[in-house]
Amino acid sequence: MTEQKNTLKEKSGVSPGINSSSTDSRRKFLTKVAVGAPLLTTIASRPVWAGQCTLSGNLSNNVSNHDETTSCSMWGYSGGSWCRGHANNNDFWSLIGLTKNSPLSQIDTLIDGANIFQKNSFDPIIDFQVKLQGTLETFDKRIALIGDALGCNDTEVCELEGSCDDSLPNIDDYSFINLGILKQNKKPKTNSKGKWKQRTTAALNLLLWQAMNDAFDGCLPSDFDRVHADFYFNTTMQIIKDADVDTLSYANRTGFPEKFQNVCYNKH
Amino acid sequence: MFAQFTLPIGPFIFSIKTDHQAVIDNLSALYADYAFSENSLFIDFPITITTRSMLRRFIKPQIDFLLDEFAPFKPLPKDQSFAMLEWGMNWCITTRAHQFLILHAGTIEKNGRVVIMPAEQGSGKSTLTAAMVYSGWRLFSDELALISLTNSLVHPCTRPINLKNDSIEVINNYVDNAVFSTIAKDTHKGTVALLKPPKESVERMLEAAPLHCIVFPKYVANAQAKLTPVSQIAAFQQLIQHSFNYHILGGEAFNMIANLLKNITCYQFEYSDFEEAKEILSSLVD
Amino acid sequence: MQIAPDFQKNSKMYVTISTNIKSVHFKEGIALFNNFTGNTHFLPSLFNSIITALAETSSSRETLFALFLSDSQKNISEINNTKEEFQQFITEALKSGIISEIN
Repeated sequence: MTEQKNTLKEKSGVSPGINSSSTDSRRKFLTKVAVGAPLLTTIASRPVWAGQCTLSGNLSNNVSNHDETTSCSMWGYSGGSWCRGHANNNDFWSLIGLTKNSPLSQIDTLIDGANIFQKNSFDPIIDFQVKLQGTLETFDKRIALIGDALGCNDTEVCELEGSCDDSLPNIDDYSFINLGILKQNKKPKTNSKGKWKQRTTAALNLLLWQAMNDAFDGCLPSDFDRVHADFYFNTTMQIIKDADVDTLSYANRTGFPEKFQNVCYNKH
Repeated sequence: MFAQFTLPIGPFIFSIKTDHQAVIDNLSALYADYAFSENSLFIDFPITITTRSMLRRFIKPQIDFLLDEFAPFKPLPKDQSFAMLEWGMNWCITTRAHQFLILHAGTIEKNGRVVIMPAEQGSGKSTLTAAMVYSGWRLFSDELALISLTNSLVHPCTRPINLKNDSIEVINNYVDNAVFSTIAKDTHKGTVALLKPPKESVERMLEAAPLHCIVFPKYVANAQAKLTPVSQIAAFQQLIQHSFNYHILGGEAFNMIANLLKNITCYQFEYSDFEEAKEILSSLVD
Repeated sequence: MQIAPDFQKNSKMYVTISTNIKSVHFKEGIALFNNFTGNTHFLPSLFNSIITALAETSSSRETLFALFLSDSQKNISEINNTKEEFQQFITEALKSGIISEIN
């Protein structure tokens, strides 16, 4: 598939006046439109189709997710990474203007579109009880912090399931359990801790992607040097809001299914 | 116990082995008009549909797609087995058949003239293709346009047509005696079913034909059917974006598209009614 | 025609089109393929003459601008706009690797 400049707010067509690069880095296909009306239109070549997964992602009747990393799939940092792993340790929080102690509701103010944390969304206001540092507490999304939704203080899960220091997605290192869904989902229809963790994680990745888009000016500032070259999270808050738990649980591992991707078409 | 089918489809020969009854039943129903071969031909794509995990045969049953012994995809729920096979077959072609320029397009033919309809997913191209091929057009494919690098002819790859969600009922109402596969629900695309292709299209699947024009279709509710010419440059850009292997073929694909565009006309096509669409598309090739 | 000072600065440089570039002219514009990068570029048809000229031989910016100006058939009052357009083309084409400047 060809590379195009895409924003989080709109899906553009071929990008006019864009410089393209034939390097391996996925992010380097992002180029900024020239200041004046651009004269030159470029469709950059990148081996999206050489990745089997992306190819299939663009086939109309694709019903499968895939094991392989692809240029067109969503690759992001897990909740654990944001809590105490790579994203946290490399201060990605400052790149998106938030901290673990920021109110959950603040995410709404940073992204256009759906307010997924308002009380009219799918879940009741008080969603579930979690063990925060050994004490059973109630998660109230009206007052919860981002770290609560991510389960950063959910020590029971981390102790039982191993390290929470998730960095870049690798299918061999992670499972449903590590993301807290099976562990916490004692009442499948009412306990939505896993869903909140996934939605929050997806939102943070989306914010990071937005920050990269905004900062890109021919190249990315060095602030983003520690973001993995395969990081790619081009979607919308509405899509995150609409995605179910199964979909979200794959979002930071094998990628959002093609249905939820803004860009990968045609894919194709 | 495994059943094995050797299935010639256009320029390719598939071997499909499976121990899943649903796959066998659907193959038998939707490929009933195909010339299954028992000879040991050269197999382009040896496919196996099975469940590798013993546990997953019984608990939340899953299905695996294997090409040779390689499983490139995650397993799917068992009730999506036939959809997975069909999609996997498309994947085999688009990742390997680089003797063709491959476009993501519905492809139909009438009067020896091929119309290629590249479109985004969800634009209704498969639904339109299905309606047309049951209205006098020959089916090349609802998904892939194969343009030979050698002679620029378009080659059929005639297979069941993939329909989703509301399109299933729309086509079921439009086509008399439509034969569908088992319906797969809750896929990532929603509800999916495959429509058996017309017998004549299957019988003529080895007949390539020249490209006559390119039509970029878009279903717009209640819209009057309208053809709008598209400039060669705009068409060029769209074709690159709709191509599966432009980046692999590189200059060869660039030259081919440039040459094709010098000799054909391209259109944007808005439609909402099949009868109007049929009339307009037919006017292009009559 | 008066040559602008910025052209004089580059008067010893020649613009050349990359040997990796293949171009095809259409009514509405030019399609160019870079065999090295695999990128495909599109230019409006008003740059036809420049691309055609560069395909034959390398040229100075002044020569190319003169060709562009006569091809554009703009009147005197539009020369500055035309020059800006030309400069923009040179900038974008250089950045994209379609052309390069040599001594």
